[in-house]
Amino acid sequence: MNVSAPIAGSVFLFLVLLALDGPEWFRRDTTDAGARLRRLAFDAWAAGVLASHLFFVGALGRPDRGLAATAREMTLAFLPALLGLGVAAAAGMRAFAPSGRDAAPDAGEVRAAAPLASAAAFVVLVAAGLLAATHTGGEAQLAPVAVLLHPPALLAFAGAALLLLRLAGRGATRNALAPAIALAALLAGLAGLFQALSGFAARDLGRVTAGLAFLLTSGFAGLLGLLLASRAPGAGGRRGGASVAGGVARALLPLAALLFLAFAFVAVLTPMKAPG
Amino acid sequence: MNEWRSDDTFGARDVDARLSSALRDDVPPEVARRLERRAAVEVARRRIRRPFLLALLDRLVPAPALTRLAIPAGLVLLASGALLQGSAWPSEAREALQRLNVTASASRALGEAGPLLCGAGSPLEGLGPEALSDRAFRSWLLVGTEEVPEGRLRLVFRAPRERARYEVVVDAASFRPRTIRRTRLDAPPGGVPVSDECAWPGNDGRPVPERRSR
Repeated sequence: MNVSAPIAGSVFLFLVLLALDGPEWFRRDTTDAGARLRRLAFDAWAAGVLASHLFFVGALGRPDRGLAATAREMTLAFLPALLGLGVAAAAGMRAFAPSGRDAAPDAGEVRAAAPLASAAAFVVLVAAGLLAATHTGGEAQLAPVAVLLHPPALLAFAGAALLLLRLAGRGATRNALAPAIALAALLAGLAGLFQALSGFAARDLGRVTAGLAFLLTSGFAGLLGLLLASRAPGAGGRRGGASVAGGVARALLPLAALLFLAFAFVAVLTPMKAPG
Repeated sequence: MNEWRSDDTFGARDVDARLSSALRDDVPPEVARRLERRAAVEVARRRIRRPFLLALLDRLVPAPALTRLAIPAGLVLLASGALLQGSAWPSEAREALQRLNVTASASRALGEAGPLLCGAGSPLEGLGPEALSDRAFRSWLLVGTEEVPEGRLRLVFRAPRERARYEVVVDAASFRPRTIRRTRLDAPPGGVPVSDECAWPGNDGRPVPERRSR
């Protein structure tokens, strides 16, 4: 995963987008082009940051690399996010192009999302990425699953998402799913940021690692949930305010997760002087 | 006027009948049948869209039950996550972070220390702080830490490119380096590994060490 990180990241991103958006693009007559492009933009942005999480943790767990090589690989892990944002920018701008088939301003949200098969293919791809990141080194190394799916952070994230959905009330679950996932991930991530910063102030490496676990897990799980939520049955039936809230959530969470990842990079490489 | 009185002589049933007759649609039977067929197709399509597993879940666990369970379940999940947050990462993750952070700390400490004093012929002789720090940053791998007396730590690094091992003794609190020992790992079979020890002057008044074998 050293020099090939940009290539592996590009391939991973392409496969994820193929799994998530491919079916819609092959059935061109069912959805208008603007809607397809808008969905592709959101998916590319979120999937790029998701891939960055995978490569970042893969770089972190290589005991046979020096500090300089690890830092370089962690830097390269940000390239998939850059690539995803590039695809998102191109697709998003192209979606503004006038199309005769755009029946309504938010017609893209009217059509139901791709079927569960594409969501299943996406999950299989992410699982394969996690396994590949685990088995690429010669020496025993850190398992990305243990870092990106840290159980306490998953519990807090799931609990917060459930409570937020309950606050939205019955009947609003489908519309509120994406905002609830994004807000829950942000809450868990900020809790982790607070813990990591307090550990940093106290030079306590254990507290910093626990905080980073919350940061990385909440970002990864939130992005995973967000991409899956847009494929949930009936998720495409949003209009108006619910559609805007979903769009804001799908744009904001990847940005926050990317900032969390940048903080993790700085926290790992900043000397704390007192080893734990 | 009598027709619009609000008493019993003019009931709601009459209003319905009059409205029906006034607003009677004149849709031809053929069109009506076509509309009914379309409505039936749409209803069937919506039924098909509902995945089997979700429909089964709806039947097994009615929605009100889920709603009632949501708040307690959410609170339990949130509380257990918050309580478990105190537990650190898995030990491998903690070790990985510690390995990187201690190496970064050592590299910076070596760069901030003064020039080394070594015995004659030592490969570390004349090596400036920046060069040593850069060497640690680029190629040293932390393989262990060990507490030694006087509140100090011994950091053991492997340098694969140099085929050597470094032992750096630092103050545990400040990470200020005190001594460094370099041991070559490429001694011939049966040979004695050559070890060089250097110190930072003014640290503890120790004499400049000599080159030695062990």
